[in-house]
Amino acid sequence: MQQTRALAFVLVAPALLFLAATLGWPLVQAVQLSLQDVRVIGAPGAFVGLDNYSRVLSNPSFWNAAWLSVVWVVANAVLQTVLALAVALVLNEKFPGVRVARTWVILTWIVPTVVVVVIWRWLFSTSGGMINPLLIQAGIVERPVGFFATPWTAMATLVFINSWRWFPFIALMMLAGLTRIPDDLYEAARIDGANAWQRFKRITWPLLAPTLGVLAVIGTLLSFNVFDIIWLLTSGGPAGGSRTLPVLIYETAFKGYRLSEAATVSVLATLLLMAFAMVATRALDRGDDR
Amino acid sequence: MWAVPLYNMAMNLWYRKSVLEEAGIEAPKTWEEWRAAAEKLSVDGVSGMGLPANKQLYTDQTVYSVMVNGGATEIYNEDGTLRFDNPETVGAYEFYADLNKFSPADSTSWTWGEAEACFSSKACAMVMQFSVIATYDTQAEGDAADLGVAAIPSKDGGDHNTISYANAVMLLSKDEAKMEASKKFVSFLLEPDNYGRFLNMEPGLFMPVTADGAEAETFWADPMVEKYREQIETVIDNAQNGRLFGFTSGRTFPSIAAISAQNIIAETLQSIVVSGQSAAEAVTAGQARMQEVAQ
Repeated sequence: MQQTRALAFVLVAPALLFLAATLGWPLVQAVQLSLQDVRVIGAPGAFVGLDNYSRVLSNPSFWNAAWLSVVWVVANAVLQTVLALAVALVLNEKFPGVRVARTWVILTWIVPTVVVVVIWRWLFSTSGGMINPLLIQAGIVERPVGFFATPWTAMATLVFINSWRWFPFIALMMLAGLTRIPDDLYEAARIDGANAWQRFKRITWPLLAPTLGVLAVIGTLLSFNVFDIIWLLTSGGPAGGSRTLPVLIYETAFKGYRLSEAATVSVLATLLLMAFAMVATRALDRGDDR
Repeated sequence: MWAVPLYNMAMNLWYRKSVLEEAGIEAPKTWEEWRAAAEKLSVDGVSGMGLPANKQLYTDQTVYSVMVNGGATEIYNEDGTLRFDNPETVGAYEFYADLNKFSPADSTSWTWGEAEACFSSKACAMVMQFSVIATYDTQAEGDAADLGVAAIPSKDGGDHNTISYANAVMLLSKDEAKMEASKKFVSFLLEPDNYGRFLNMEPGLFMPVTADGAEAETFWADPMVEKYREQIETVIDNAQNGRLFGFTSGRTFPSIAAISAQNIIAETLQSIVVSGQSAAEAVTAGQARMQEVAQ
């Protein structure tokens, strides 16, 4: 038994060391930085204790960014789940071309972020973009809409674009979960006279729930940390309307030249995510036990 | 460490002569004429004036171009304290925000490219830009006779000023030999014949910073420069009254780096255009932000 434990430790050790070097060490550095007053990379800084934490926590920009991060995560989770579930259910059916459809659906996910941004920036543009003329021709609006013009339209548009990019990945994960549900269950339900909604409610949803739970945790962590799409499309604007915590961290460090303050926000964001991950993992474990 | 100015970029007002003629107006010289022109040109889905309102450098540049034409050139007092919050600045912001109403709805997310695209596609009748020559020539009509360029209108029609950047090459080395070699190379680059070719890396955008360079045959011989000679001469003339925020009146204060990097000038505009603050409130808050980031 002891030998097995030792072997397990030896086998796991390289991964632990790798994680310590690539994750633990930078985290320790970030905590150290957050206790100093460093302005730019490479500059010396004096120890200032918890001054940065006090400044950050009393700054309305931090709380606004935290709130926008929550809005961002929840809105993305809802939209991506709905889109992904709908697509996964369709792709789980047997119809001609299903194999092609399963491959084709991941296209939006494999397109590089910069390309995604260029495509959508152009589509939503009021000068030569395609969406505004379509909306006007359909009589939905009278004048071109500025999709990035106000804080809430900008946030909604960003959520849509980010969800468009990520939902195929979630859909494939859900599809994997769906394929594990035995056909026998559906067949028996059909024989018992269950309609499509009843089959979904009584079989699909309960058996897919563990997969959805894991996806919710992974999706939240991934969504929370999205920076590229937001920065490239709105830079956190207009008027800070899409400035989530990752955007605030970047702005504070590289535009405001306050590296220690940015590290402080990073540490607080990490603590927030760790707390979420722990609570979510325990909830999932309890679900598995049941 | 030393630096040498290599090329100049100055903001101008670009328009199509035929569009203004059709509307029965001339290129505006005063703010009043400018607003009236933008209003008159805003017909059939066209925006009279493409003016950015993004929290980004392009908006810093266009706002400052309006400020310097409204008597708000100085951001600092002589002792380094800020004087951003003054009636002239407020007036400039009020005017800019009012003019922005004739811009496309998505101008709050514009950078330079969107303005050029708007002008090229004829969705904007006028734009403020360093140059639109390359995009106009390659992606629009390319009719040199129809491309108009003017100095940025001033509040009362007096001196026309603009933002102007003398982009510099900076040499940072402790190695004497490297510094000497760099000096030799930059001297070679600034010889009129070589300098003209260097400027035409992007014809119509990079303007000469030396008198010799402005007369260099190699500069004017480029087909694009030759074609748009009239416009380029106007751009060079306009650049004579160039200013750059934080670098005026021979006074330079290091805090301008943080103010510029965080686009506080543009951020102040967004407080008006997006958040609905009054110009006076936004400018007061803008100065407070400048003081905060300068600490």
